[in-house]
Amino acid sequence: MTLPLPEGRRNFKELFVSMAMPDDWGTTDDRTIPGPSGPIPVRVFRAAEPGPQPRPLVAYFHGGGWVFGDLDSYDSMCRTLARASGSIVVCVDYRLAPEHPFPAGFEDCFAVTRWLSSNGEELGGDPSRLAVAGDSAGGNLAAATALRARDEGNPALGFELLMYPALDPRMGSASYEENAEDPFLSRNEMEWCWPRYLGFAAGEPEPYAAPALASDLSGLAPALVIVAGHDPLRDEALTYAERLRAAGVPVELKFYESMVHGFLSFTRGLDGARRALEDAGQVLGRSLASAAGS
Amino acid sequence: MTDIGRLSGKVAVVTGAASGIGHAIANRFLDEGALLVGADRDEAGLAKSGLAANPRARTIVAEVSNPADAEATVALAVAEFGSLDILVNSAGIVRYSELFDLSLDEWEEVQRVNVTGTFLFSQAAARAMIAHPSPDGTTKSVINLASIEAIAVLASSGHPQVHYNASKGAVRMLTKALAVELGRYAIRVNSICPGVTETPLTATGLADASRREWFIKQIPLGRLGRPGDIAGVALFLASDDASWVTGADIVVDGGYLTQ
Repeated sequence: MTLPLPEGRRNFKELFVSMAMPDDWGTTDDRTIPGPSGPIPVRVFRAAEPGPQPRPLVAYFHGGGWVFGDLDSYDSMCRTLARASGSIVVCVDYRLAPEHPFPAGFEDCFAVTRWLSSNGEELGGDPSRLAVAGDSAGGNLAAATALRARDEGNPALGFELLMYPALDPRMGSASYEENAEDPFLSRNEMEWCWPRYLGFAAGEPEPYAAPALASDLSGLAPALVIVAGHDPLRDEALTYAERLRAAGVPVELKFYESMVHGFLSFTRGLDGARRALEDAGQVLGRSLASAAGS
Repeated sequence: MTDIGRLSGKVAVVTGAASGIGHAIANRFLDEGALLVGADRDEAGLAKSGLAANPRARTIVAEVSNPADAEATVALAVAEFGSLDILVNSAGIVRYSELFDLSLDEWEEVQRVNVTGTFLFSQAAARAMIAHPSPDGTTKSVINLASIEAIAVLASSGHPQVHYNASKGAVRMLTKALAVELGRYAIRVNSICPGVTETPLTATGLADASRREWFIKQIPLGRLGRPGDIAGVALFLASDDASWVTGADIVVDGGYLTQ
């Protein structure tokens, strides 16, 4: 966080690539999708051989505090999710803060999701089975995309996968206290990231920037919420899952008590992370299968 | 080196660095590799700002209207980092008394911080900049935070803040005089005129929902400003991309003044 951004971003990429179990399943295709402020780079992950049926589609939004992260940092994770879910995963290289604060990155993510719902056949996908997914800051973007999709009635989403999402800029939960100095994600780091995403604005952000502040969670897509025990973001993810359930949204909660923030990216060293990611992909695949025709 | 930031190797002083626009500018400069001294009179605010966590940053408690504090802040930058390339005068205050209730004390308080502070820090910084010329011949940059209230009277509280308008008008013209005076030393001096921006300074006024909505309706870009919007312009003015820009006042207001 204290390095100049070009160096910090390079380090983030190198760290995430080195921590992930290499996965060369399937094929990838780098391309762009039209966005509100120009073409948005994406990477499409799919099986080498197209199946007999069009596959479900997943828009994936990477983590990195809205400031870091790119397609290479999440290449391995997206391959695993595509394989385990039997879907076509589209990882979005959305615009990063502080150069591009909210709503730039969010608008990119939403534009790609809407494009997939209108043009997913072009990728060999089935737009009627469409999900959003993301981890950490990307979990925020996935939750926000689901909120806006509900509010605007378009696109129809079959599922949302929220992996240790960053939802609440108030940073006031007990897990923030307990994990304030956590080496994988500290309070200081979140205090650094949030203002960059929010443009250093004073006052309460809008719910698309901070989904925890949304007053109504009814009518949202069914969700899988993945929570790590040793994570300042633990409580806001648990609270969001509870609120979704109370609002009548089908929610599956997976709580990995011994895990740290970001663990699903650390598949090279953690057997538990590999299993959990595989499992998340399978839940995603099953949920989208049952979403067919809905 | 492909990894350097837009301000890597440059030494910057930012006043009012604990909050609002100054805080956003200080952070943006650090993100782009600058070496930074963040000054503010709010000691607790500085401690909370997180700036000191960056090994390329120092903080100092300084009252901008105090000449000794200006000297000490500039001296700290030179002692710690060996030079001074950029000064941002962002410390500023607003007071709300209307004309016939306005005391001399309140009038002078606003002028002291907004105008005298800008003058004192510019004078001290210019001396250090001249004493430590850029080895590569690039220009140095002084950036003053004026306001759209230097150009038009908003009367946002229901009546003009005549002392605030006067002070920001003075900052804008001080900028131009300094640009003329310091051009021969390759020091550029520019001002930024922010429009209605969401900061602790404007929080009271913007807490009124109807006033907030009224402002948003007047802004062609359809939203209030954020400190990050101003920081991006400050980054441009501080960088070598602005090497032939001096004496300018750049309005950053979402289009408010154009209609």
